[in-house]
Amino acid sequence: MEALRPIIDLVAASEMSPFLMISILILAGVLGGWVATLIRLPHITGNILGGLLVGPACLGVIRDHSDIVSLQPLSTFAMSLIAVSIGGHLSYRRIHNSIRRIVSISIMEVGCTVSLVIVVARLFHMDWPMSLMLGAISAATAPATTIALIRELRCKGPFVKTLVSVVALDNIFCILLFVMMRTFVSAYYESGDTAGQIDEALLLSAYHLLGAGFLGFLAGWISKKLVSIPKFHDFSTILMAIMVCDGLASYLGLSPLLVNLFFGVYLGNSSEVAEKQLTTLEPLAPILYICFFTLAGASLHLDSMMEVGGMALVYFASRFVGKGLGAALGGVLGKCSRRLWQNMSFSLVPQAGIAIGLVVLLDADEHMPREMTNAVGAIILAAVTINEIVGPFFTKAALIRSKEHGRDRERLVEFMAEEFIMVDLKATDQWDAIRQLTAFLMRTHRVEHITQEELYQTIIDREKQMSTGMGEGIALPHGRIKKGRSIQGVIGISREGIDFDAPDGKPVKLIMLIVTPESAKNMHLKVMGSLSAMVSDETVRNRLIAAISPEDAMEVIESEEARGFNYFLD
Amino acid sequence: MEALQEIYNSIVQAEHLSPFLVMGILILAGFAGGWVAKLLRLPHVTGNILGGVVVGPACLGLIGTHEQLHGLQPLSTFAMSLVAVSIGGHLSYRRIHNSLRRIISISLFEVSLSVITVMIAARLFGMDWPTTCLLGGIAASTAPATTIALIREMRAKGPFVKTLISTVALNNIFCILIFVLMRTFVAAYFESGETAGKVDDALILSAYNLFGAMALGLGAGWLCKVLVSKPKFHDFSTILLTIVLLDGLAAYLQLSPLLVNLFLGVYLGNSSEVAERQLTTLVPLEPILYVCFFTLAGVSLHLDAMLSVGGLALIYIGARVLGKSIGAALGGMVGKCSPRIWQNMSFALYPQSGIAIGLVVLLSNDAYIPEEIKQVVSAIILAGVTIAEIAGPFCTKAALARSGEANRDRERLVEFLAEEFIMLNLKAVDKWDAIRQLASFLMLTHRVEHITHEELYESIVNREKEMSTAIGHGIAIPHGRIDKGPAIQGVLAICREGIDFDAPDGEPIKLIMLIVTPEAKKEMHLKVLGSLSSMLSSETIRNRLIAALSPEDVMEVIESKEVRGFNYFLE
Repeated sequence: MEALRPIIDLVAASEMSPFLMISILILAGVLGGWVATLIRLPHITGNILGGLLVGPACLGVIRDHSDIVSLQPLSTFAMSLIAVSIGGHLSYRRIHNSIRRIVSISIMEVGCTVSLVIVVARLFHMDWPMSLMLGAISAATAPATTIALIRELRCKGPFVKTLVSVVALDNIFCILLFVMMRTFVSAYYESGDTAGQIDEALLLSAYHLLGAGFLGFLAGWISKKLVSIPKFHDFSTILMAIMVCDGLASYLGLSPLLVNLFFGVYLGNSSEVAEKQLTTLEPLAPILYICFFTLAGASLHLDSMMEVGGMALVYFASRFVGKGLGAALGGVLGKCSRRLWQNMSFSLVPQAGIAIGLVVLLDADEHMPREMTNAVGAIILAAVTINEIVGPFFTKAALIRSKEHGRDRERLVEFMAEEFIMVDLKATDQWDAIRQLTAFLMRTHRVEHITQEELYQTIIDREKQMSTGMGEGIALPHGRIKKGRSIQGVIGISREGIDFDAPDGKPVKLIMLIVTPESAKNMHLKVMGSLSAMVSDETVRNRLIAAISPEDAMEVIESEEARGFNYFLD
Repeated sequence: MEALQEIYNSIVQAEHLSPFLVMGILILAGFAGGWVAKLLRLPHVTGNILGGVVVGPACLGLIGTHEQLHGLQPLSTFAMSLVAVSIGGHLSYRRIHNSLRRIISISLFEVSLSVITVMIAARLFGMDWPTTCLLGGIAASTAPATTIALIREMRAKGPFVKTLISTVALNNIFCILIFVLMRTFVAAYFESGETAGKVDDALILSAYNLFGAMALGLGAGWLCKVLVSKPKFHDFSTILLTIVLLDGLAAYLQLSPLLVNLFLGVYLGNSSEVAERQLTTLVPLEPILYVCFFTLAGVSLHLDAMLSVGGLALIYIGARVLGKSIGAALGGMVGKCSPRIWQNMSFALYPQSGIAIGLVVLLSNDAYIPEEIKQVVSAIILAGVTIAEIAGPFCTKAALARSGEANRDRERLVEFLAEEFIMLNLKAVDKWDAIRQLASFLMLTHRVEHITHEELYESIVNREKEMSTAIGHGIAIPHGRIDKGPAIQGVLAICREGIDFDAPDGEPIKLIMLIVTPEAKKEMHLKVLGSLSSMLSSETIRNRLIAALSPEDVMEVIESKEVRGFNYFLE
């Protein structure tokens, strides 16, 4: 024993390095996630509880809040990665025919939440500045939690698309509202009047929005240029771009979240190579997400929850109700299906990083009195604790109830998605219909290997050989092209009917246009067979033709009767 | 205007740079430096380092405050750990089994000579014993990151590169052990004035450093292997987490993160096929981490230290260069390797960076050693590192270029013509015994997990029984075909006595090439056979091969100007 003395002396003197801290955090997160999976809780709730367990609030393996602060860049980076991924979802090709309900739901839920939180705060005798700050912060929904749950459940469909887009928009709104409110409140404390400060508030908000837009798009444009050069290493370029965006954003006083969101928007809407970059950093995602949530758990403030418990519950409840009512109202106004708005009402509860980030910003403002910022901080931190533990349950339940879980796998007909459906096709004749649908296909798919004229010509050539009208008001015009990765297609619905020289002479109301590349030709017949089998059912056919929106058409295609035809390939 | 003032104010509030911006500036400077270096045909790492010097406190001063450097330290440690894993992975038994002798001999000689010359020079110039011992301990290490980065940059591959990587791995292990020994002696000397009683302590601490690192690294490797064999574990995350955890535990247990990760690499490289694949999982992270590492090294170079102790640093550098060169040459000759290897090896071991600095930092935490000594040692080492990192890469790059192994890390027609697949002095009673021995040599040197030894032997013997594969002039090319497998594999054996193979010209066989072709590669089979037989059609080549002293010597013939064209690159 005595011989080992020097070794014991050596080890006893050592401290915990950042590496050990990170590993303990991640291991706690992984362990929590594993336990959560066993007892069927959301994975991230497990991560958060794991973090809480090793954090200062519980075991205290990570003793100090300053330790957690030193790991902050890791969280910021994880959040930026999520922002890029969310921004990438906002691509024109994906949301062009669902913008209406997305905008309507986000505006209504943000409006309702903010006003309700402000009104309730006033009712409980908080002063105006505090009510306004709480109201502004309440708009944000946690993007990371939402994305993590969607990944965990492998969800895909119109509801998920709406949810991701709404979360992206409500964070943008939240940051703008917060900047405005803060300017008012700050002016109120500084000079006692707020009337003269409207200009300034608007200017600052505009700076936040346009500055972030400019920076994000610029970074996107540069990245796109660089990754198109073959010798540039994609992974390094994108990693670097995100880091520079984060660095510049915090230097310029902009929100890193917004900047990276716009970066993602640029990549998603630009060229094919750029879009591929959205998944370059995928290998890093699992460990960063675990890190992010465990770190969030470790920094939860159970003590502040005890202190301001009552107020936090009031904030939580009014936000919950506001989100629920607003989403339902927005959904009804935006004319989306009941399934969508009912589930949407429950899936906007999580709140984490952004809210905490805004509290930190508030703390840094020297015009605000300390009592006010401390009170807002305590309420928000306590509410985040509740929201992040309770929220994922609601979102998970909503995702499951929407029946879109387990559907992010390869299917036989990949092009049966909302964004590829056109209702109210108005065409003078068969050729005009095909021309319009070809243009629609070019616009909604990434087709860079063939021009519209060539595509139109191939389909017309086939059509001239023999009409592809199959009777019962259905036509399946199709063409074969040389290059391309997979079968692509669009669905057009025409209420008036178009003459297609069908064998039974009936006018065609449902047109499915299909383009098959040489490499996928063995799938062609299977796809055609599945499509015609699906519409051979009269109820399905009639409901499709009567669909009032692309989303409505998707409800039919994904209904119990029809969804089996578009089976999963795995 | 007034309104814009408000925006300006909100910007200026963020006076200190966020870590992201620091890193962004760092990496961009590194990239820019690397790009300029490429234009000027300098080594890429030199460009990174100079880029770092430019933005660092020595020049523009954009970044490089003490807190910033301290905050980015973990990044350097992580990059170095990745390098250590990669170097450890090269130390796989299958790769070095028949070159161990020269690797060990070169490392032993160059380490001991550089330690001894540095110590003698230090004493000659009047330094006291403790300073001398510590400088000597640190002198042994060669920068693994610089070496690996240069090898990657030049796409070098061959016996020289293999020897270089293995030597660098070993000399860092030796360096850390010697340093721990020396430090314990020096600390004991200052604590109690006598060192004699501390031999036990010093040995125990060195043993702890070596075996602790080994236990931790091999244990982590085993855990990783078990985890990544399960399909639902995410490889990238598992390896990343393992390295982070090892760095954390090593720092906590006061072991060297480099050694621990080296042993992790050794385990992965010598264990199963899945584990070996993990060595390349983190490759996407490497370019940016390397640029970060070298640029950061540039930012933290102490040009001021160089000026203050300039003379002493030059002595240290001079003695170290001399020791490394003579030691490598001597070791090469004792290890009986070709002049090409030892001549180039003498110039390839100069770079020194992270490890040396890490050891200086360790030293500064030691409470028993007096401040003056620490300051002198660290000033000399930091100045020495500055010179070694700027001048060293040139020498290493030149050595790699002169060795003729640059730009050879590409797919070739006959991938199995490498040193580790060559067996000299085959002694077999008859042809079947020869085939049996070669089949087991193939199993030993290749990763063959899809077929048993017996099956392999059977398939070759069946072909052999149909018709002898001897093609005259003392050459036989026995071959077999198997169902699965990634590529054509083979081994080459030389038998000086000759074996009767029923050759058409009746000559005994002295050169045997055993080839195994999987079903998926059968269209390559004839090309490989054709290339091998035309390579051996020249009598001079045949005679030089049969007279070869060592597997390495065989490679010198195969890679000589006359025949290397037969084994052309596929791209």
